Amino acid sequence: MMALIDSNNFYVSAERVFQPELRDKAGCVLSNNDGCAISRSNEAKEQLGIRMGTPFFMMREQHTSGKLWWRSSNYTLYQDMMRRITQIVRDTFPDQEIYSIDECFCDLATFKHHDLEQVAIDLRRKILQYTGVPVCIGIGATKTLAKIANKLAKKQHKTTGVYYMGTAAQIEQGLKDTEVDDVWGIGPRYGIKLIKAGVYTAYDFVNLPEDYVLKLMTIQGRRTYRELKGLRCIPMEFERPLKEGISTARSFNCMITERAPLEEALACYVANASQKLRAQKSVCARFMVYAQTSQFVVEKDRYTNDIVVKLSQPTSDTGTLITEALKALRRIYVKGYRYQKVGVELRDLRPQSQVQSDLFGKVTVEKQDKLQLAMAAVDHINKVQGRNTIVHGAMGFEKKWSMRQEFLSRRYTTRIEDVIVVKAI
Amino acid sequence: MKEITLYKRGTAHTLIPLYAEAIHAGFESPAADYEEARIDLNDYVSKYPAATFFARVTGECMTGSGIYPNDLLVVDKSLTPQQGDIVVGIIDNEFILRSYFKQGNKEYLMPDNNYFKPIERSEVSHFEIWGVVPHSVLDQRRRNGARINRFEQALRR
Repeated sequence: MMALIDSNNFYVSAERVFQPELRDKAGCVLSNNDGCAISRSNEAKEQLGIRMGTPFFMMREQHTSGKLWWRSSNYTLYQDMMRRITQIVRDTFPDQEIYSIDECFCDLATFKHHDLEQVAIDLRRKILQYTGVPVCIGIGATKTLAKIANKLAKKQHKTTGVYYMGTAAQIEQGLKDTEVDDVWGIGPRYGIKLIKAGVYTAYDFVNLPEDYVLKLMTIQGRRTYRELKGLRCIPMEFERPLKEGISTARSFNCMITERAPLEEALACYVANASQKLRAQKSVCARFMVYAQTSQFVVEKDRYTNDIVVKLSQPTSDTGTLITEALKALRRIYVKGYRYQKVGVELRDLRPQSQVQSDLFGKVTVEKQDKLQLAMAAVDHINKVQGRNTIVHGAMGFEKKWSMRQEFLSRRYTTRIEDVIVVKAI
Repeated sequence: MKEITLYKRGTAHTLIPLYAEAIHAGFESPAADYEEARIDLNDYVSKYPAATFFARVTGECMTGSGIYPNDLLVVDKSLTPQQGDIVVGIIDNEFILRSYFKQGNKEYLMPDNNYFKPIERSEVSHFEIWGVVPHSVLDQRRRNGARINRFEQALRR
């Protein structure tokens, strides 16, 4: 059996652990730059009809009238809460795959002789007590069935937060209660196709002939079909596969026309991306830099361009990458436009250990090694002392363009000066 | 660009460590078999790190338990409150520090003084035990002033 443990409205729940005044009130967490809602409390969904992606300005009135609270996304806090939850899960179910910041799959093969439903109910209760974050647990024969069970746990089994799809009757009922476009791996596009063909629920779907599914939805669809029939097609991934590309880009909080702040922003994104690159012990051989204006301005003010650069020697060194990225930006920058976004995408990633030295390169192997040591030291310091303790000068200091995070809560679990305050009054 | 020379820790030639573990030329340390992990305060104050949080104190109603304003509290959410435990509770949407008591079916929160009546769970609209405080950290040096005063008074006597 497989279990999917999924936190309920994770970002909102994490905020509520440390801010009791936010409980039982409609609220949401905003995206980077405070653009739109990305996590909503049940009250916000049900009473105020706030949806995923509802823009900030559309909610402003509900906020001023006191019906809605909001917070900027506090990823430092969420990451730590996620780490706590996965640890607690691992203590019960050791075979764990962390699927996203708020979900993990567990393989329960070693739990043959247990009452799995009861084990899951106890685990759920434990996570709620130990961290304050409510989760739901779905159990099924495959990952796709566990996903379905999890959704049903959220909808139908709010008191226990657990749905166990063990018997044939439970599976049948579960599939009948699930709309076909809600199935993991089907998605809205095929969902529409299927509904047009008279396939409304997951139960209708598994009763289609396999050939028909293969013809309609290719091999991906057949995989989902088999998973729903209880055949494991999607294996557990205990180790996160290495990324094939790393991209960093954010919209500015205002439009930028000058080249200097664009360069600063790009340098910051490159630094961020190359740190991720080193974390997975890779180097990149190629990268793309792009710059664009808003897509919503009149056509003559619209501009978007990108450029791909191949490096003579693959590297993960922030300094080298920043220098090359800025050169590239200068080639696509055109004065006069009001830019909304620049970004970088590191491509052609390969393991650091496979790097061959460039016969005609300026950088010797010895110097490469030194650079690597220096970057490792910088990464360590930035991890221990806080992000951006050591920065490259090109990244600038004022960062007027940087993310808008007006409603950020404190980092209650990672900074001693930010811990909760308890009244002994 | 200026060249920077980087040394890996432990490879500098000028420093010869006085005590090093790996001098294989001589005799092996007779204590090597007895090596243990050093005492870790985290192990002592927290039974379950994934459920351990920290909090700062304001107010003076728990000084009877040796908890003063600005002290740091270890809050363990994995513990179930026992009679007399100090707990972080939530009442009226605020974190409060109290001691916990149970009598029959009734649960109470109470400060460390005799002027207050204990608060009973059913008397308030929202009563929650957020976590148990197994340890508190008191900054002794912050209290040096009081001790210096006492010392100077003693000399004058």
